[in-house]
Amino acid sequence: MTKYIKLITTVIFLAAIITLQGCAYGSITAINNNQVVIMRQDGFLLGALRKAFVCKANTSGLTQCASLENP
Amino acid sequence: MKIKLSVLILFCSLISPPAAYSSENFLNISDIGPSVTALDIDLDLGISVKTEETPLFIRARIGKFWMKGSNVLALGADFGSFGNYGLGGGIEGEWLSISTGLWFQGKLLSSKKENLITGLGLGWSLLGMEALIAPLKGNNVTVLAKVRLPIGLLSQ
Repeated sequence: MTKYIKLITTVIFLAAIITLQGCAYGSITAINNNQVVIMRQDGFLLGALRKAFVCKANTSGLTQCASLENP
Repeated sequence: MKIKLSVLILFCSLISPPAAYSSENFLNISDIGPSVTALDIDLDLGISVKTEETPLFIRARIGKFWMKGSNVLALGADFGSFGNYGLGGGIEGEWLSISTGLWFQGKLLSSKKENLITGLGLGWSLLGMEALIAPLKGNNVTVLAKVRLPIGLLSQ
């Protein structure tokens, strides 16, 4: 029983390290005054679900997000 | 780098027109992206780490998943062969992060040989681990390594 608890603790620890590796949403780049490109990385299906979103940035957040498939 | 990305985005927009604009106001960056509700089919193949147990676990989960940006929640019926516990079924819930690839599962099951089995699973990408505990039989624990095939998500 103790062996399994150690094993599960190790896996949770490794998962936490992976999660803490920078911004989970990948890169954010401003392309002009009020537009940003946000990359949704895909760590689950090795890039198959990766997407780029172009959003308008304003003081209340991001609006009008359009997506581009697998850039 | 900024110029290269801009050129890439412009090129992509020419070959693949953008999806409909969302007028939603996003305050949380991980919510950016489509909201999708779809049929969830997930296949699991597990192997018990204890050699004295029946090694193979072959299961399917059928239900629904809700995707919002980078987060996926799934809920469905889980059924199949549960190693030493025999054939069985129950309910399973899952949270999955597309961007990091991490997922966590919780389940309540019942099988031919065991009235109640609780399970916790976690993993990254298509690989993971799972602990099944039979609380009515002296907390008997089975740990398995598993591979999953998320057919529902792949169809997105």
